Amino acid sequence: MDFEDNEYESLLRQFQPRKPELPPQLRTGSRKRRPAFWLGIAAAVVMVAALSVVVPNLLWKVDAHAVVESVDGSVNHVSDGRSQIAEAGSRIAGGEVLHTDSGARATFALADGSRVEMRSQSDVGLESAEDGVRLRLNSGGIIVSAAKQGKGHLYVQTRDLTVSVVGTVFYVTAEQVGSRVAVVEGEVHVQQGQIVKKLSSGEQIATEPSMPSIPVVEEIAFSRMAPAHMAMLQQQSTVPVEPRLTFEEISIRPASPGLAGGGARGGGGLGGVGGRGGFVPGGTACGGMIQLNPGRIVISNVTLYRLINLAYGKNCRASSEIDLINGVPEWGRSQAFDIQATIPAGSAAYTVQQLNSGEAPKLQSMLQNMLADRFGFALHRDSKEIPLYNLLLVKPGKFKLSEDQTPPERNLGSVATGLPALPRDSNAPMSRGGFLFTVNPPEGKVRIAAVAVPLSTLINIFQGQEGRLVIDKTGMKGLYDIPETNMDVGPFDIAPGAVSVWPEIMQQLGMKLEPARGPAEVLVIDRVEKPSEN
Amino acid sequence: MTLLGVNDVKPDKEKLQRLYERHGRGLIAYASTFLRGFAAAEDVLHQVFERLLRGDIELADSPAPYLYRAVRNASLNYVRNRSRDSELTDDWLESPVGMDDAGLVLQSVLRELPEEQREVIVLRIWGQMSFDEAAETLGISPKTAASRYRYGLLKLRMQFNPTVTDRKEGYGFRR
Repeated sequence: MDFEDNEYESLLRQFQPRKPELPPQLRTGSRKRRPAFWLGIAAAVVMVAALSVVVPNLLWKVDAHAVVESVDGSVNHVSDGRSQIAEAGSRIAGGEVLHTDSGARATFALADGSRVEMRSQSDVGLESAEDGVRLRLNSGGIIVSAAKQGKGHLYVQTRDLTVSVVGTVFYVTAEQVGSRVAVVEGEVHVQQGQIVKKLSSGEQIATEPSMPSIPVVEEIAFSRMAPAHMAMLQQQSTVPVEPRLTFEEISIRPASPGLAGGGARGGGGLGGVGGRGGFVPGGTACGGMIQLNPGRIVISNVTLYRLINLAYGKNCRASSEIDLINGVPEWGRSQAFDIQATIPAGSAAYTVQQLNSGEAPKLQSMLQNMLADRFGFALHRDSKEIPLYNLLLVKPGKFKLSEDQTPPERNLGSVATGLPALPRDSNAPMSRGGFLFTVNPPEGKVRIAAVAVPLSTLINIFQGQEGRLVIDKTGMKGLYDIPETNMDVGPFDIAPGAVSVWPEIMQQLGMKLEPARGPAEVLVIDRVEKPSEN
Repeated sequence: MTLLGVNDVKPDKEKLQRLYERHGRGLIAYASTFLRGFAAAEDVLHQVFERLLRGDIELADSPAPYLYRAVRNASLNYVRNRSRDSELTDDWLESPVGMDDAGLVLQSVLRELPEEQREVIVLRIWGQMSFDEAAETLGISPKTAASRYRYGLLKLRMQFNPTVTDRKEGYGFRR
């Protein structure tokens, strides 16, 4: 198997077979229980048995049913292995399951008045528990607004934890790697194995340390009641809640038609069975121009897709190439907007480069809140295994740690997206933060130089370009100088479908791009609409 | 009646769900090499997993080859029993962003390949199998699997090699 074959295989793997739905029989909530679960139940049974001596009437038959209150998108109700469309008013009995498809959400009410909001791609089974009702969260996420429990408990169970409540608002998510619980109001008891922890408002817990910490406000953003939940969180949290960072004024207007790279695809289409060529490229979802100064940000000709990438610190090309953002509507990739926003005085200052590299957390928060407020945007995070390049440092020396590690002066200029703009006069002395990268493909020449830049500046040039996410495993933190280096890598082209020269470029810089596979975060859009009026 | 032998031990549902999550897409690709579209392939997958749930099909420690063989058998049965329905086609491949039509072309080109080459390509590319596993699934030697793969890939590359105009911006520095 030669390298060319590997490249072609890599191209083929970018075409993913569609994901099949789970067979109905595998969707039901009845699962084999883990020993830890039985320990928990055993403890509950012992407790109930002990109490029954004193208060015999504590043992009662619980009415485990629910009624669907609202449905947005495609929601299914699975009963006895048969799936049917759920609507407002549908009754869910014990042992049955409710499932929201991609982009859908639903709310249902339990007999005791508790209300459950399901985000998209969630699967919840309803069961009777020994002393109450159990919601079995097989996948996805739910916000539970639990009514005061008269005699019993409401439980939410995932495959690796159980949450028990008596009256509170909390969020639970069940992901492939583990589960997470976040409390909006009141407190809950979370049992993982034999360990029980108490969580209060604003606190969250994950069953796997590798799960990233996600702000509670982001987790609950999909909810119709999100503003009320967030206000409650601010009021009641026992841990400091980050103030919500927003722009002071925002103007969002449609950009001139066609500037987002065309958008609509015209003509062409299939070249026929077995034919080649004839494809018409789609719109350039990652285009746009950013101008940033201390009190203002102007993003011209930008798509929703690019905005999401900026707001959540993703590399747009990598997201697009490796499909790391799901559920963006067609208009979100093709329709361009001009956005102007006023940044509050005293806010943290960033460069365009930092924003493009996902290293502008406060500004990113403002963009996230702009998306939520003006685009009705909500998402959740998932992960999938993808091809990667691990970037390793093999031979140190080409990169010198800058003597001055203070961030360079703010870059007030504008930077076009895609490949960074190349300085026209490369002989001019380079200031701090300067980065030179020129290529001469026919002659196979590459020139690089930099003063006080992070390694991410170089990585971002080719991040995702090879259909692989580049993971920086060099351990090189801080700012670096790269003395001017001329490389001869042999003639190449800027095109797909042939052998990449990036491994060779990196090798000449003393690094190695090592192919691997690993998990990558995927943003799944739960809700988005065209922006509201200014 | 079983596909891979009698087995009274029912596999647990969680394990099957994990298997489905892990191999679902690859199995869809494999079933689609015999059938003419996603819906039929999904039907077949559901049939196979329902049988697994009932304990009709035995799962080994390394279940992938067994799963793929079960899907192969079920797909061929499906074609025999529903030849008219199977003329309906729908997409089973999702294209990367910016190459919207390329997935359809790739499906078409794959369909034109000899079945024995197509199978091993699908097992390698989307089933992520080694040649040993692909050979075990198909009941052939690893060398034969490798040879079929190489010939198939060569033909595929001649028919399907998206050019620069097929992609929007994500192309790299290449030669």
